[in-house]
Amino acid sequence: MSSLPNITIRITQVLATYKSGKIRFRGVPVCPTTHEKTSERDFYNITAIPSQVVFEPEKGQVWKINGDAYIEEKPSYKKHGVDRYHDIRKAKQCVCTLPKTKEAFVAFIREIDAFKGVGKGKAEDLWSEFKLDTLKHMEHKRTKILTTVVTAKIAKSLINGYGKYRNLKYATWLTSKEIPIDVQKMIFEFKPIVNEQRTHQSGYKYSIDPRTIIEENPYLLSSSFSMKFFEVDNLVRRVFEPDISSSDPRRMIAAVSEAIRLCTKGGHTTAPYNKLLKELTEILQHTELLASNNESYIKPSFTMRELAVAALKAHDKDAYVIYPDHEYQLTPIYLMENVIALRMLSMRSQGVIFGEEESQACKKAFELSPYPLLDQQKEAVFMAVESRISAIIGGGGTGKTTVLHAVLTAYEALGYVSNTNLCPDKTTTNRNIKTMALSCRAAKRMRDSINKSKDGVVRKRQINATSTARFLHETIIEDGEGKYLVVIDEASMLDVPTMYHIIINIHPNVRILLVGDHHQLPPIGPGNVLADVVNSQVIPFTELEIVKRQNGATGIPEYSKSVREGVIPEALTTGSIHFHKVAADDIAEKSAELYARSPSESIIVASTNALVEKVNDLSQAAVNPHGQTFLIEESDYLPDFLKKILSKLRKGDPILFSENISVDVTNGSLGKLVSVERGKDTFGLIKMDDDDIEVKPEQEFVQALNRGYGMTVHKAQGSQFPRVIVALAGGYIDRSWLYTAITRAEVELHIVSTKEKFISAIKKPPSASRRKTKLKALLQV
Amino acid sequence: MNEAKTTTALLIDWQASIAGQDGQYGLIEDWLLRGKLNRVAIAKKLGVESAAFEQTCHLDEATKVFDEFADMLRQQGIIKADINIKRFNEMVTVLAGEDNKYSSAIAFVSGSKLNRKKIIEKFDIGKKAITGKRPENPELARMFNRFEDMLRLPKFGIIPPIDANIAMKEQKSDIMPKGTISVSEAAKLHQRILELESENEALKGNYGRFSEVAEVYRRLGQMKS
Repeated sequence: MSSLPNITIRITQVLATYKSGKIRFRGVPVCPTTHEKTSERDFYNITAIPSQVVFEPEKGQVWKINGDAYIEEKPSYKKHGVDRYHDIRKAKQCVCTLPKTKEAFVAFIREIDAFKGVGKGKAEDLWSEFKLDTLKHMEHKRTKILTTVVTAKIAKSLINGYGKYRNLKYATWLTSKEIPIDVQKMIFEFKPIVNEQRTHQSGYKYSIDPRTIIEENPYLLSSSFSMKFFEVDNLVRRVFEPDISSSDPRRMIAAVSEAIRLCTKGGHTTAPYNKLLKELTEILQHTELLASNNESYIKPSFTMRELAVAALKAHDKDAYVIYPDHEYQLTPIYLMENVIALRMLSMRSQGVIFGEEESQACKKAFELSPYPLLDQQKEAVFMAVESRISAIIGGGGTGKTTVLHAVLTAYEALGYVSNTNLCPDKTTTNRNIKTMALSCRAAKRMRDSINKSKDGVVRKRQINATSTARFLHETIIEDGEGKYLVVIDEASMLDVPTMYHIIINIHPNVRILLVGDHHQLPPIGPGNVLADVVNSQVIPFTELEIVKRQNGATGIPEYSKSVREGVIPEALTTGSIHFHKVAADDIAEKSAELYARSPSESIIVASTNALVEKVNDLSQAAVNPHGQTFLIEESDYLPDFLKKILSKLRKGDPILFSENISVDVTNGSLGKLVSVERGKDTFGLIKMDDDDIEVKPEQEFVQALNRGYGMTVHKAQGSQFPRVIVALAGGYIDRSWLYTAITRAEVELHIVSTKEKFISAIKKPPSASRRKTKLKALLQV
Repeated sequence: MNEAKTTTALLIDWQASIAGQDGQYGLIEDWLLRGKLNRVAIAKKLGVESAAFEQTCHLDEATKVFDEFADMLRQQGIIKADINIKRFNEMVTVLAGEDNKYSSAIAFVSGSKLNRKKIIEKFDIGKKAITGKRPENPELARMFNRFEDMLRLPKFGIIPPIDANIAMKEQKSDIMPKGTISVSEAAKLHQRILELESENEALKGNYGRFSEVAEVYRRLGQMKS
C-alpha cells in the first residue's frame, strides 16, 4: 500500500452513488493543469463515503483525490506490457475541479455528457474570447454574451449543462459548515431557496445566495429540510452562532415544526395543543441538555415548559398554521387539505340535472350489466351519474366491480368517450374515462374487470386503468369543456398528498368517482381521504352492504364482514376459510408449510417485518432450496449490505419491490427472478407479474429487492391473491388490519395464529378512527 | 534654385503617374491622409525634403504647383475634405437664418448635443469625415464642436449648457437611490405590467386546475403571521 499525494483523475465510470451508501468510481490520471491524460497504463478505483464527497461524481469530470492506494499490476488488455490498478479504498479527500486552462476547458466540454452538441471548435472559440470568464458567463446564465461567439442553441446547452456546477461553490461552503450531502442536494433542488430574490427599497430586485439564506437562518435546515432539530441546534451552536439564545424566534419556529412533525407521525395531519406542548417541552429539554455541554452556554432564567408555552403562542404561517380549535398543522399539509376540500365542495355545489339523457344512459347500463343489479347497486349508479364527485364504498363481495362496470357504461352512453373522429377504430381506448388504482397490481385487476365481464362480453372501447403513479406521470386534463371522468379504485389507500396531486392535475370540471372500502387500513401517508369523505356526510356516497351469494361461494365476504363489525365468527373454520390454531412459536413454520402446498397461487401476509423475513427464509427453504444464487466474490466491489441482499436471492424466487423503481414498478410490485446473471451494471432479470414487463435492476435498486413469499398487509393492500395465508403473531394488530388481510383472499384463506391473538385482534377497534385529520371538518364548513 | 526646378519636375512627373489612363486620378487614394494630400509622404516619395511642399516653406514654384494640383483635385471632387468644409459653412449659414439666432438648429438637437447624423443626412456631408473615434477630417470635427459650443451660449440657448447637464445628473445621483428608473422607463414598465397581468388572467383561464391552489395561497397570505 502506498500513500498518494493529490492525484488528479478524469472519471471514466461511476459505479455507486450516494444512494448505495458508498461513492465508487473509476478514472484515469490527467494533468492537474491541462486535464490531458497522462498515462495509458494507470487506472484508479476510488471508494469514499458520501460525507467526504461534496458533489455527486459524473463521468467526464476531473477530481482531485487523496488517500492510500493498493497497487496491483495485471497483464495489459492491450497486446503487451502491464497495467497498474490503483485501488483507493478509503479516499481522504475528493474534490471536483473546474478547468483553468484552455486545454482543460476544451476537455471539460468534450467529456461531459451534459454539453453534448458543443464541439471542440466552439469550446476553443469561447476560451479565446472570454478566457476564465467563460465559466462565469455560463454560471450567471449570460446568454447574450455567449451568443456573441456561439449560436443561441449552443449557449442554452452550455448554460443548462453548467447547472450542476453552479452549485459547486455552494457545496464546498455547505460542506465546510458540516451540512450533510443529502441535505445539500435538497437545498439545491428546493427552488425557492436557490432562486430567492429580494427587493431593494428602490424597487431593484436581486438574487440571494443560498449561503446567505442559510447563514441568516440556519434553522431552515430543520424546518424546511429533513435535518433533525437537535442536529441543527448543535450545528448552530458549534458553527453558526455559538451564543444563540435559547428563546431565539428562529429556533422556536424550527422546534415547533419539529414537534408537529413528530406528533403527526402515523398519518395524522394535525397535532393537538396538549400533545404538542409535551413533545415540544421534551425537544427543548433534550437540546438544552446538549447545549449545556458548551463552554459558552448560559443557563436561561425560564424553564423549558415555559419556553414551550411561549413558543406555541407564536404563529409563523410559512412553517405552520394554528386553527381556532388549537390544532397545529404544517403549512404544506394545510395547503393540500384545503385545496382538496375546496375542490370537493365546489364540485358538490355544481349540481347535475338528471334528465332524460341520464335516465336512458342508466337504463342502458343496467341492461348491459353482466349481472342483474340490486336496488342498492342501481342507486349507486344513479348517484355516480348525477354527481360531479361521489364515492362508492363497500367490502368484498358487495358488487363494487359490477356497479363500477355499470357506471362506466352509463358514462360512455352520456358521451364520455374520446372523439370518434380521432379514433375511427371502435376498439381503441376510451381516453375520456381515466381509471386508476393505487398499485400496479390493483390497476391490472381493475383493467380486467371493467373491460371484460365474467360472461366474456368485452367492452367495445377499452378503458385503460393505470397505477396512480403512472396517471400522475402522464395525465394532465386542462380541457374544461370536454367530458371527462376520473375513477380512483382502492381509494382507502389514498393519502392527502396523492389526492392533492390528482386534483391539481385535472380541471375542476372533470368528474371524480372514488371506489373503495374505508374500513380497510388507512394509507401509510398522512390523512385518510376516503374515510373523511364518507364520514363528513357532505360528498354523495353509497355504501354497498348486501353480500351477493353466488354458487360456489367462498364465505370470505361474510367472514370479513363479521370481523369488520367486531363480531367473532361462529365457526373459525368455515367454507374456504381455515383457521390453524398453533402455538405462537410455530406460526412461521406452519405458514411456510401451507405455502409450500400451492406456491404459485399463494402469498403469506404477516403482521411484522421480522415475521415476514422468517416466513421468507422458511418458504424459500421449502419451495426453492436449490435455486441458483448470484455469483459474489470476496473481492467484489459491492458494499457489504448489497452483497447480503443479493446472497439471499435465488433464481425462481418471487420478488417484492420495496421502492418505486419506475412508474410501472412501484413499492409493492411483485415479480419473479428468472435470471441471476450479472450484467455490466445490472443484477439478474425479473419478470413482473402484472404485465409483460421485465426489469434488470441496476445497483442502486438492488436494495429494493426482497423475497416475496411473504409481505406485510400494507404491501398487499390493493392486491388480491387466489390463496392467502395470514400469519398472525405480534405487532399492533387491530380489526381493520385483520379485515384488510382477510379480504386479500379471492378463493381460499388460511389464518395461522393462536386463538387468543385472533380474538383480541377482532375485538380491538380500528386505530384509523383515532387518526387526526382536518379534511372532514373542512368539508363540513 | 536647381533643386526647386528638379522638385517641380519630379512633382509634375508624379502627377502624371497617378493620373491614370482615364485621367481620373484613381491612385490618389494612396496619397491622402484624412481627406487631404499627404505632403510629407509625397515629398518622401519624390526624394526631396519632407517640408518641400509645406505652406511655411513656400519658397517657390514647387509649392505653388502642388497647391494648384490640390485645388484642381478639390474642384473635381476627388478630395472631399474641403467640399465637406464648404458644405458645413453653407449649413451654418442656413441654420443661422435671417435673424442670426440659429433658431432652426433646434431641429438638429438631441438631448444635450447636436445630432450629427441628422445634419450629415440633411446637408450631404461625408459621414466618416466627422464621426467615429478617429474622424477623417478632424478639422471639420473641431468645427462641429465649436459650432455646438456656440449654440450652447446663453445668447442662443439652442442646446442646454454642459454644466447644467452635469449638475442635473449629479443632482439625480444625490437624491435618487441607485437603481432608480426614469419616468419614461417607469411608464414602459407599467405598460409591461399591464400586459403581463392580462396574460396572467388568460393563463388562469387555461389553468383552472390551479384555481383552488391560488385561493388557498390567497387565504394564507391574509392570515396573520
